[in-house]
Amino acid sequence: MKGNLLIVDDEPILLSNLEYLLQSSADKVFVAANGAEALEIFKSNDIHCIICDVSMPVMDGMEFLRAVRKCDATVPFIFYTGHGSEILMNEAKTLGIFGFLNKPLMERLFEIVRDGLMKGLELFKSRV
Amino acid sequence: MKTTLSPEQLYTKTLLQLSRLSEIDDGKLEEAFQTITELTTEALGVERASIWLYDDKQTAIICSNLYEAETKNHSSGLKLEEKDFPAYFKYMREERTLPADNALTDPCTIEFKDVYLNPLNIKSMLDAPIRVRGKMVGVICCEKRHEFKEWTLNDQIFIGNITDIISRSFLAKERLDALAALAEMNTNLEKILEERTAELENQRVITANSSKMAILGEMASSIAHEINNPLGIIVGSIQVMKIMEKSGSMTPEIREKKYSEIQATSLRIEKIIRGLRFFARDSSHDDLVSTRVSQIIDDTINLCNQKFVNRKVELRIKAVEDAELFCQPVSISQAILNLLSNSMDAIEHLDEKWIEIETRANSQATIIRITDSGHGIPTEIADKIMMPFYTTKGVGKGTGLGLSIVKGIVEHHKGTFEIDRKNPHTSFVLTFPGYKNER
Repeated sequence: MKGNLLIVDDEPILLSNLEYLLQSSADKVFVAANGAEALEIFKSNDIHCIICDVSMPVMDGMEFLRAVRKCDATVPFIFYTGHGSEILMNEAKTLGIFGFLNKPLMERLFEIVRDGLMKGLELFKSRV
Repeated sequence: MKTTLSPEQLYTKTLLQLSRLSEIDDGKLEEAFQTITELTTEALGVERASIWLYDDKQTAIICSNLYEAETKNHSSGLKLEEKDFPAYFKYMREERTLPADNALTDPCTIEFKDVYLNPLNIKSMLDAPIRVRGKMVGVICCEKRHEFKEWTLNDQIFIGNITDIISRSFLAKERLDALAALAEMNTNLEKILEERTAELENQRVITANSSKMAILGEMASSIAHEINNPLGIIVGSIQVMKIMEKSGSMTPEIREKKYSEIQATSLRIEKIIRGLRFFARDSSHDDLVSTRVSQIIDDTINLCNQKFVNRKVELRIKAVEDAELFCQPVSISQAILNLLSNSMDAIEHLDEKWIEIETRANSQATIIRITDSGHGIPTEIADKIMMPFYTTKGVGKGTGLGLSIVKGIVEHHKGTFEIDRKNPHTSFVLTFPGYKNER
């Protein structure tokens, strides 16, 4: 069992690229174009790791993270963003994030997603 | 000389001649003195007539014009120190004329005997002080050589009149000098004004530039995002292609689709970089070029699109009529960007967040209207809002220069920048004269 991954990004091509690249890392890959969509998916599925963009319409990454933390304090949450803003990183840290990746770099993506899923699955199992 | 005239007739004629002399009232002292000395020798029947003026220190008189009738020669430059001829100067200061029938014995002229009178064989002198506003500025001297002459009362009245004419020329010169000084001062003032205007314009350009950089700095992170996002797509797409090629799952259709995606995404980056370069370079001295308003708005939006997404502000672009604007496109873009940035800050905490850019044009004017979902600006603030350094934003949030810069830019384009107070929302209106194909 590898766990389920949720990818959130408002760029459709980027989203489909990530979906393709990470499909083998997870049992199931869910995709969403913004935080609101993602929250729906998160609430109705077992999600073991989230990889998420920061700036998005409707509900951005930060708001989504806050919403997730309301119902799940531990699920590994990875920001994958072009911003690389330090202020953002600091706020994200207080909410507990698993990783922070800067676009366009991808090298550590597989590694961090694999670790995230593993951790998420572990937490999930311990809870069940 | 016509000897048929009596001395009195001659004096009247001479004075009339002199009173008509334009040089007198034109303040042309040299020319005036030349004529005066010549006519005076003629009228008085003397060999020498000279006009002397005080030097700057007021301690000596210098000959300004000496006319010698025998040789018809004019000369100048001789200097007499007051201390060497005290009796003469004392008398001249106090009286109207000095008629010395015998200059060699007259107590006021005897001082000249050895140094001046005897060497030149002068026998009689008729001198008179020249006064301007009651102050002696010089003297006129009429000298009879070879024989003595008895000066009549009419001679004295005549020479007195001559000194009055000379004073008139002094006053004329004073007045003309003052006018010339005034004219020069005016020219200087104009020059200073020009310099100040240039300085101010320079200052305006510098301020506009630094505010542009401030806005760029503010946008830096969203610009980074604008570039990193498409780069992420490209890197990801290449990665996807690599894997598909390796695993043999690649099809020509997918390959073609991925190539197109990469190409289109690269162009997105190119566009934002072009926008950045367009915006960041020093454009203050750019020529005016004819540019479509829609193009300027597009270029501006490209720069700040991400900010709209980040701030969750809906952007409405309403081009009722497009127009060619004869302008510095970057400056107009800067003005729009300033207003957008301003609006975004203003509506940050509102539930309803939108900004509308509307373009209208007719033969008289091109109008760009930027309206946001805010509820207008209170009158007392609206009056001050376009002044430099006026800000209602918190410390560190605004420079207070935004709107004053917009105003500067619009006015630089001969347009007007106003707040539409009738609009229920906050609405700024940039009106440019319809000067397409003009200037």
